[in-house]
Amino acid sequence: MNGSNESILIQAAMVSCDEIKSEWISVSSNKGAENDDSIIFTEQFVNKVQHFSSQYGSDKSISYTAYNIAGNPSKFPDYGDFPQAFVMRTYGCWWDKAPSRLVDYMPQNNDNVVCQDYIDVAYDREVYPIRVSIYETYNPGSVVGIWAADSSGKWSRLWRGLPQVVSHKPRIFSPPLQPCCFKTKMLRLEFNHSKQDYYTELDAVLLIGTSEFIQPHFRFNNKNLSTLLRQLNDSTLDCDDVYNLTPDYLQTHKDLRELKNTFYKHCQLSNRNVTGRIHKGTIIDRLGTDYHCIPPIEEAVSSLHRFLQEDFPKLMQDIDLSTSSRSAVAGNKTGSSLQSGDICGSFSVLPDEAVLKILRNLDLRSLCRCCQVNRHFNNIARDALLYTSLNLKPYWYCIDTSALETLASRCQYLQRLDLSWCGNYNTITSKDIQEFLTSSGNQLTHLRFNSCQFVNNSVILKVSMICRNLKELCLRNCVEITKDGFWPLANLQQLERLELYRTLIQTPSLCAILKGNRGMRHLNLAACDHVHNMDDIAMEVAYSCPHLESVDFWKSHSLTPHGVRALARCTMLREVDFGWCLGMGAPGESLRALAASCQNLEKVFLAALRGLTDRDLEPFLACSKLRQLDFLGARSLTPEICLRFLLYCTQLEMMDLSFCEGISDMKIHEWRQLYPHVSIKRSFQASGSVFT
Amino acid sequence: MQSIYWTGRLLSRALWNGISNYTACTDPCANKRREASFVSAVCGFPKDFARGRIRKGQFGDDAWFNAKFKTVEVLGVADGVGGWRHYGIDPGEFSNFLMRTCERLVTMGRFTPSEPAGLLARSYYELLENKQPIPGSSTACVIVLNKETSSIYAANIGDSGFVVVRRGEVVHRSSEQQHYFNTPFQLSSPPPGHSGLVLSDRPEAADTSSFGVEDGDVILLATDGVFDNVPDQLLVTEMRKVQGERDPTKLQGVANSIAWMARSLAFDGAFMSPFAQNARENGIDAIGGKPDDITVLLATVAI
Repeated sequence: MNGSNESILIQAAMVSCDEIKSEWISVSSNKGAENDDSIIFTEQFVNKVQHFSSQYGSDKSISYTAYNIAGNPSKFPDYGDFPQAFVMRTYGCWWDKAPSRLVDYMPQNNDNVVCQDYIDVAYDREVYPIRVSIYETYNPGSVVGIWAADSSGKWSRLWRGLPQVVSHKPRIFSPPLQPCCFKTKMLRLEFNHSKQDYYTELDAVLLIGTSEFIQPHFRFNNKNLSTLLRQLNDSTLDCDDVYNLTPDYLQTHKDLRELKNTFYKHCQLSNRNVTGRIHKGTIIDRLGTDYHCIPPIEEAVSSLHRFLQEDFPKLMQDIDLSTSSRSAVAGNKTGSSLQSGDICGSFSVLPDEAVLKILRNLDLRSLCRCCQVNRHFNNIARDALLYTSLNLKPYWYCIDTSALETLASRCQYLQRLDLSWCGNYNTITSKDIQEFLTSSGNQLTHLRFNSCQFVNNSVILKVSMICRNLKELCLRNCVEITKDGFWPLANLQQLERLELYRTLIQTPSLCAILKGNRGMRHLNLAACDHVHNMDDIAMEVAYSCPHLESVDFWKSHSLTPHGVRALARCTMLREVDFGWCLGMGAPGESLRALAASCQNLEKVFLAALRGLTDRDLEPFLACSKLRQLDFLGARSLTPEICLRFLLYCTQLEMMDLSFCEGISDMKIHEWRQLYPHVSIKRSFQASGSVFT
Repeated sequence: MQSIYWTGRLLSRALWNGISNYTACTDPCANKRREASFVSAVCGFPKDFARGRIRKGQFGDDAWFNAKFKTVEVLGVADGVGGWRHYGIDPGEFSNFLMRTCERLVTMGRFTPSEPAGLLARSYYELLENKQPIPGSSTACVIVLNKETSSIYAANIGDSGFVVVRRGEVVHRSSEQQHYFNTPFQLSSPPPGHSGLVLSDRPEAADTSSFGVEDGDVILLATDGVFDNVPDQLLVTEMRKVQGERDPTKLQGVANSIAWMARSLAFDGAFMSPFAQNARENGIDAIGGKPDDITVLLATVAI
């Protein structure tokens, strides 16, 4: 497979030639009237994929890649595992249980739902979004957030929710959206796969929007537009699909049609330019709320009204309750010097160290709020000791140059920094990050720049010069670094984890890096298409990195049995991923050698190794710690060997037997009953007629 | 890009003709007339109607597609190698996947019009990237029409092929690629080098050609079920009938008659078919047609 694919690679702009549906709707009740008061409803599918965090397919291919989300639905309402869909790399909790899992530095920063993946999609025309419909063709329910960006790169959250468990059938998912006060042509979808049985697959994303900002009429008691639409949608809603406004895909957008027909009854325009008046403040303002989402005045009034009527009395009650209970406590402890009066001020009694210890548990948002309490708190909450580990990924939408500058002053002792997903679309430039590293990077041991567009050659050079003690470096999806940009990393010597998923690194520089870092424990080289001789890398790993625990060669087409055989020297290996290494057509003795020498293996992924036979797998039966196995697409595997894995590997938790033609669905069904502690995966393809 | 191109063209023309003539220039026909395009028709029969598929784009183990992208039109046929049936594998899956992927690649614009062999290679590569293993092998032939330059780029692997007739004469035809008698070059999975038992050729082995086309040219793209059963002379006679034809129904009529001719000759036990003649040249005493799946793509060039 080596050089032969080179000629195949064609860099063509991904264009979809799909029509954009526009409809003029008169605002006034008089249909014949010719006036300017009409608005345009536009329906459009994705025009271009701007950015994404991961994809199942490889860049050269059109199977399972992110670009498949562009254009009209191609498979819907078929349900199943189709190459025409957008598929991400992970599903379920399995990757978070593997030895190579990443642990977040500041877990308190995370919402209750952690976003694991995202995709940014661009449309042709700018609209005020009123509906986003996501065509899910396999394992629906993983979308947890929808964002819209304005032309200057400011983001506003349109919807957030929990990962859902919904029935296995094709679904058009249209969650109720927050009103968005600006026109947008770029959306971001965020995903959490933790509830997913198997890979989520998306076919298309429809954006319906208007040319003017619309809101429900006064008469509707200032209801949200989404609530109004739900009312118009008279069909009974599915109970397991509560967020969805279009649960029945055969009758989608009925509510919108209704709305268009009787627009004058339900809605009104509002030409308020809200965004212009937004105060652009310091970091605290932005961390505080999704500040872009300022509702129109009427809505604000009504929400205040609601607050005064419903929530305020409750709040007062709560306060009453807490004071009474506190006085009760104080009453009990009559002997103590504590008096109910000075409870609020007692922080100043504590030594600063104790306060710091407490503040350490706060998330960044709360820390910034603390800064505003008073001078004393301001001093303490900006203490550099609180900023040794910094996880900014949850705040990707608001971390920009000024935020980075604000933080830089507090980060003298910064050791661990996660800037993943931040600063894209030029909100952070590579110059900013270089300045930041110069001022506060010399203590860094852990650095994550996953999917960051600002990471280029000069940033890597800076990292290699300043962060001499770096142990962990994650550069997934950093495609701005050219092949020569990786050379400076060879100066690092302490690396224990290196992640280079989808980067442009090539064989010589990667070899040099591995040579210098003998303590390497986790290595992710998945989808590094530009490494033309992965065998050389595997051999370098085998000789230079004796402590290696996990290695990911996923989609390394140039890896052959020679390389795998060499890896047998790394006896500490706990996790290997050779999925889609098409050069491994006939593994020969290589996998047997690996299994024999690496008895600690917990995760073995061998997806799409078509030539895999029972004989190759037999020695793995002796690896008693095995937890996760992936044999997807192994044509000649027999039920016998799988059964032996189920019997002998007592720790086994997951086994993927999708598209293993030698194993019947009956067997899978039987095993699922007999071995309920093992999650046996089996993918399928079905046409939509089954579900209608 | 296209719109910029047209706007630029319109503007320069407008300047050339003077503003007064501008409205005349916006007439799309005036511009379009310079571009070549295909008028095409498809007809075919599965060898065995009992296990014939009713899927679009397939006749038995044969598969075909017809796709457009911007200024390019692409036609293609593939013939799944029937021998796989003995191993319990449906040969139609392979050829169909190959053609459907070509179709997707073309409509997504992920190909270079001047490299039809590259299109086949990419399509074949997607086969390896598919989770579902699709074993089998197939011959394939694609032709790409570049409308702007009125030229055709063709790639052929195996014994499917095309014939171009201009003013009653054959001006271009694909050359048949065979390892030995009745064993064409073929793309197959498992891929080359993986198994000594499977005959397999790299997509790069495709025979490629490119040539200009003129208004009225007739192009026949067909699988071996046609070329093995219908003598050349007969094909050319039929194709002459639709020279310069722009009516799709008439074209369809001729496509139907070619396909029907191939079908009836294939089952004519006494007919000295091109296949039987070939067999005799290879020292095999044979007579009659060769029952096979039949796919006919007939197109005329309109400029």
